[in-house]
Amino acid sequence: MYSEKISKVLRKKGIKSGNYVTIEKNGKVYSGIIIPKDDTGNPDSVVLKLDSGYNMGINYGRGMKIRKSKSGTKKLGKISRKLIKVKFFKDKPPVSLVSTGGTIASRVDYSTGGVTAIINSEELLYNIPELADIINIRRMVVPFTKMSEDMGYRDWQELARVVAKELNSGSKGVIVTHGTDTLHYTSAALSFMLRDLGKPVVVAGAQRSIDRGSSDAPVNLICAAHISVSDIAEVGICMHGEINDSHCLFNRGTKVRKMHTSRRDAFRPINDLPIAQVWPDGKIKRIGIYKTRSDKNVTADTKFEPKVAVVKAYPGSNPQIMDYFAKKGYKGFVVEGTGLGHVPTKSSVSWINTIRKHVKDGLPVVITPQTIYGRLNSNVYSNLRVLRRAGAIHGEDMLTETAYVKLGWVLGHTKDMEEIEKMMLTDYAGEITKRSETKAFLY
Amino acid sequence: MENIDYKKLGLKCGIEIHQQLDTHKLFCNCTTTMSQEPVDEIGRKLRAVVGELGDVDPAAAQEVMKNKTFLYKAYEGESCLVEADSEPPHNLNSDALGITLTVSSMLNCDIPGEVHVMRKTVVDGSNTTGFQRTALIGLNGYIKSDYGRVGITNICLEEDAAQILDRSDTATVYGLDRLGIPLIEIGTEPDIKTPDQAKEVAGKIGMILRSTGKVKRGLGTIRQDINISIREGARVEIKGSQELKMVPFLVDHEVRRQLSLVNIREKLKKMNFKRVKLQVHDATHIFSKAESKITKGKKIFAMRIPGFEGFLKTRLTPTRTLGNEIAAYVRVRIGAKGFIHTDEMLEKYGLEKHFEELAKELKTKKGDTLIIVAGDKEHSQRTLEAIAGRINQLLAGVPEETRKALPDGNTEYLRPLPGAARMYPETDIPPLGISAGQLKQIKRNMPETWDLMINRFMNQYKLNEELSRQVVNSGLGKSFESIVKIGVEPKLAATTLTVDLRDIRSREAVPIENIKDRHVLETFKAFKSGKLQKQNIIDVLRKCAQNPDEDMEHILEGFKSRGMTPDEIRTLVIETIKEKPKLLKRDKPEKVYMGLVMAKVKGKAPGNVVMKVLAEEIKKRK
Repeated sequence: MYSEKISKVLRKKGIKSGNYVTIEKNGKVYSGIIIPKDDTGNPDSVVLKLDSGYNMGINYGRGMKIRKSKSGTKKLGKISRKLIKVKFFKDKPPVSLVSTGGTIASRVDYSTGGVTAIINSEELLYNIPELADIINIRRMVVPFTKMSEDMGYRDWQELARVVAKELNSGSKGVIVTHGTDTLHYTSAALSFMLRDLGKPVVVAGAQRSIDRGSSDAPVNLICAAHISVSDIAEVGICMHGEINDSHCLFNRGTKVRKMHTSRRDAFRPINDLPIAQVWPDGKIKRIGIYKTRSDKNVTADTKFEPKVAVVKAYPGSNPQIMDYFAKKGYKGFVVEGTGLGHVPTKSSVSWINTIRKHVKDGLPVVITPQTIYGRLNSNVYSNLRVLRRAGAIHGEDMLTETAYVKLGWVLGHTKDMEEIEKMMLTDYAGEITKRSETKAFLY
Repeated sequence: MENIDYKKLGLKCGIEIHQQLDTHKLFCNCTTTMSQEPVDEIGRKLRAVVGELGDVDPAAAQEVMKNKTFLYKAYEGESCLVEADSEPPHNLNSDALGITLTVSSMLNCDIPGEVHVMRKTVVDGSNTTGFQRTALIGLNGYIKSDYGRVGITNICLEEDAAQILDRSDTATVYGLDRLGIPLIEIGTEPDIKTPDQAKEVAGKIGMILRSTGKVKRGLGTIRQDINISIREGARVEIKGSQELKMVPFLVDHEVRRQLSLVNIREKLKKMNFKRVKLQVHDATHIFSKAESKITKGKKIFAMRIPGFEGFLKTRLTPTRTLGNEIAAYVRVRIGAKGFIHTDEMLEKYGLEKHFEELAKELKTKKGDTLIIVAGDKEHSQRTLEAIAGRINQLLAGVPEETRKALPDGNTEYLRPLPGAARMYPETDIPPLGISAGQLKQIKRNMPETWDLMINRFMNQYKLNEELSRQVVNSGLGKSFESIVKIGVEPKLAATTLTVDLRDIRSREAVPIENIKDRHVLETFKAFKSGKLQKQNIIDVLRKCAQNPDEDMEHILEGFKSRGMTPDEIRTLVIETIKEKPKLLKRDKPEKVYMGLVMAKVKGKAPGNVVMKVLAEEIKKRK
């Protein structure tokens, strides 16, 4: 945003962004298109796009003159319609695309210079005409447009309902595009909420926005399209398998985590193998176990208790944080423990009494591994046994993120402590494996 | 070669200089020595994207049509996730910004109050991101030349592109070590009026860059692009000239090329030449009878160009015909090997009779030209289409395009001129304010220009003009002063930094551009304190050049110990020759052996003594 000083001058002269202007300052003359200012940089600096294409800022100061030098406005950032029209064919399998925002649906806004969401969802596809050779996107649904860090359980519920509706009304599969930060929370939520799933639900994102030539979105979406019409009836995340643009991994929605801030192969299977490897040319190598396609109608079981807190136990951590959440009406905890599932036990800030008290009050406490990889155990050390006796549930090899979503979903169905424990330790969507595969570490 | 009146032709020429800076990379902390072997490879695809004005750029679209895979070699210490397009850029390198602000001030430029980093679309794969990051740092400057003042349009700070290592039909291989090296781009106004002035201006700008003491030296660290047009011609951009001395030849040849194309246009107009309508004839049945390797076993397709006789052999420059020009064009555009036409000496292919038969079959009239290409139908069709297109272009005169500089001063087609809509903001880097205080600081610390430095060295240190010039031109002027300051005799300092270093470069190909000020200072400090023998100074510097990142203490350690006896040297020389006897047959074997022996000597004997023994032993074996 420009400062009030500059805005006032621009208003007075009737200058809008996109106008061609001439600025005189200290005897120097500059001309170009005036560019609006986003939240970065100096609000007292007028940004011009010169004829050379470069932008530069001219600091507002005494004696600076600005005037419109040509009439008309350059329409910045409008993409011509003919470029974004993608034609699909009726003879290809019908698939629905649900777009929710995120990097995969973002591009630079040329009028502001910032990155913003694509308003027209077709724009997502103009760059990837290959999709038309694989699927017929019969419907595009945009339930909401958000960056994934802003999503919450209501978005997961809505998404589950939308996906179920699409699958039950003739689509062979659904592709969901989504921001990557919390992609694995959403995939876990869909995994629990979509009951009797008989078709593929492929969640995909991008680490590089679609407006750059090097975007990972095309390969991710092309691979997602192949999975969406395959026999794999699972919810999963389809993203780059390696740093090369060679293939994608289709990872189970409950056993996947964003393991890198910026790499395109950030999503790795945790404590599990990928369901499949998939190449842009349509080759699919099936690796893990999966349910196969069926004609069942899927139901969206979206009951959810949002008041679940995730807390982390670490050296010197204070369990009073749990009291705070309890006082605020929270209904359950996921505690990220150390090693095989420990919390400080015999130290001056022991968590045991606090956990025992909350469990007694009917607040389930699920322990997950902060090692990320591996399975918990409640027997090996005496401190583990102490924690178990206090009533904590060691959540097997479930990821913290998955356990958090699952506990919310379980609490949406029951508040009975025995039932909660039973459900938390029951495998609903592949979130608990029976065997710990050797190869599943650092896959 | 006839003389040309450039002014009369309305020659307009601007140059664009790209100079690498001697700092870490522009948007990450990788080093820029480019001395490593690759350790990894990354495979990527790129796509054309919609530009800021909502249209795909034509230059971008052409590259994408080729549908290629790009392979990127990664290097330890010299590339990281930023180069791999797998991590957002770090903050702009402030040293590089400082140097660019200094150069902008020296070239009398205006400096923006706020610097905006932009993305310039590049989809030939030379940037993993699909764009090059670049920022305007200076504008509206000028430089004085003997032929008049030349405006400086823009000074930009940008990332260097990845270096191309290999190219095949399906993949292009690039090295990530060069990607992201800070590069100053200086563009002049088209104020240059003659080839000599182009050379002068390029030379002067080069001197200003080097006077900062913070630019890279050596092959490939500076590149000149040239923009040229004549009044009747069109703007052509010539890329990739690495040598200053080629600049005037490139300018002159381009003027001649444009002039010839203008003349051809006039001639064609006068004879009422009609645009070629492409009709492709399958002539395989005629040429299958020929013995020529070019046509044997291949499908042959032909095209007739009415009234075009003689044009393909017209010389555009003293060493290039229109035929050469069009062949280069279709090679780049279509990947075609070439074509054969009736303006050539067909005897050299043994195809005269077959062309006669073809002429009959196509009912060719006198004055027509026939062209044949070999290859499958679709490819041949596209090749002939491109040839016809280029011939039709002659009616409009000189096409605007980007051309590649060839070592002989000629150029050939590279790609269409990039459109103007290739730039959009780099959203990962916020705008950078340039304060008045910062500019004052820069102005206060402006380096001495080389002209002034040469004069000062003559007066202050009593060097003759030649030696003074050499010291300054070597880029080691500051080093020179630092060692004179600690009491080294100026003449010794000067000859070591010029004559001696030049010798080890020309004799042993030692990369002396790696020698930094600190290397020189530490070496001479050791000499002054008696820890290093005079004859070992050059050996230490040699080692510094070969291992610029090695600890100086460590390098000097090797020379502090006892020197080798003459017998030990001779034994080592004989051993080395016996190990690799085949090298004796090489041209100038002493050069080859010298490097091997000196590596074993590890500085324990002076180079000139080793050379003498080596020469004797080689002579014995000849």
